[in-house]
Amino acid sequence: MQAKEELQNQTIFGQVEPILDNSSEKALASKREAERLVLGTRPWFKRPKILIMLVSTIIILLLVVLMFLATQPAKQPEPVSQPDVVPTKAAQALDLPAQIEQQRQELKRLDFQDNTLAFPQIDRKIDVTLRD
Amino acid sequence: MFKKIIVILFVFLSLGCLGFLANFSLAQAQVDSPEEYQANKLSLLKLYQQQIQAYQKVYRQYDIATTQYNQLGTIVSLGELVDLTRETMKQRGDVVLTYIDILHLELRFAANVDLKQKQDLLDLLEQLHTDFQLQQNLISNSQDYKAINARAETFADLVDRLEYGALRTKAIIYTGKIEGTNLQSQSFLEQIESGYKQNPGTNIRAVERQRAKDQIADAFDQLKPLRSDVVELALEEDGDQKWYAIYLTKLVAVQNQLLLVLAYLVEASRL
Repeated sequence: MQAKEELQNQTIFGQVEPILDNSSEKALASKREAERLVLGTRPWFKRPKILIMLVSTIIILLLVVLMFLATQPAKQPEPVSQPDVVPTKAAQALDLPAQIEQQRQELKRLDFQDNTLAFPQIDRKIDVTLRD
Repeated sequence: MFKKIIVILFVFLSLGCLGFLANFSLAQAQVDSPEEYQANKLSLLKLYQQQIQAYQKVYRQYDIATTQYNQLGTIVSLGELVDLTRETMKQRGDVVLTYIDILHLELRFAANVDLKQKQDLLDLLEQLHTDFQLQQNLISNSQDYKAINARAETFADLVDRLEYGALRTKAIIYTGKIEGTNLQSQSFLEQIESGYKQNPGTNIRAVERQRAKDQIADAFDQLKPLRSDVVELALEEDGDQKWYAIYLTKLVAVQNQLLLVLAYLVEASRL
């Protein structure tokens, strides 16, 4: 039987062609099948659903960052300092009386009869009074 | 696995984005800048003046129509009177609504006031605004003199509530201004005392400074009971004209005493 098989496999040049053993191919095929089940046959950038979700996630992340930045208070530029100019004690002493005097004038001007808050001059009784 | 990670990340970020969006809107709504106050106040005052003029104009026509109806007594004159009464009531309502907006704005930006009182009054003003707005809608839909007279009765009740709210709002605003000045005065005194310590001066100067400090201390002592009177009166639930007149009298007394304190502080700051 074996000889017969060998005879069948002989080529015209008398060489013996080896019998093809497809067990390793079967093993490879089952391995690929297992990989396909786990990873998919196509790379992620060729799968639309995953791609859309990933892009959406990136956009949402960018929006969150932008909104966070928008709610931050605007940084005021630092005042230009002049280290060589030091206010004298006299100058400092003058500031306080001026401040107090300013406060005093504002209090003096405080008008409790402020017209903007006065009750509007309206007729409370507007109706149709029939003749007798 | 990769798909699961993407899904989980997507869900978390979406939730986070929604939460952040809500906070963002709230933060924007709560921003109250002095510039916003000035802009809103000017706009409201301008509108208020225009509405008062419109009301006065239509009121004159209503007055004439009333006289004509009383003289003629015809159905036509009655119809004209009804129309002009409706129009006058609407214009009057517009004036009142803008007045409430002005009070609300001033109260919202009032400083150094009791927060609970402030919130209670803001709520009252908002409720009044809603009630008057409803009244405006009812007036617009009133077709005959009976409906208009019914609106007139409701208005009388509403305006009593508004007067109460307005007086209390003004009282709390003015009290806040006085309190702010009082706090500032105490701060000035601390600065003056700090200045004295940093720059002792001569013995004669020290005697003058001590006299000035004693004078200021006496003035603050006299201010305390006056301020207490005002605070106690502000906590009372009254809101009529008599209460307000007493309140203003006491507030003016506090104002005068504070002016004296500040005058002493000016002198003391120059020593």
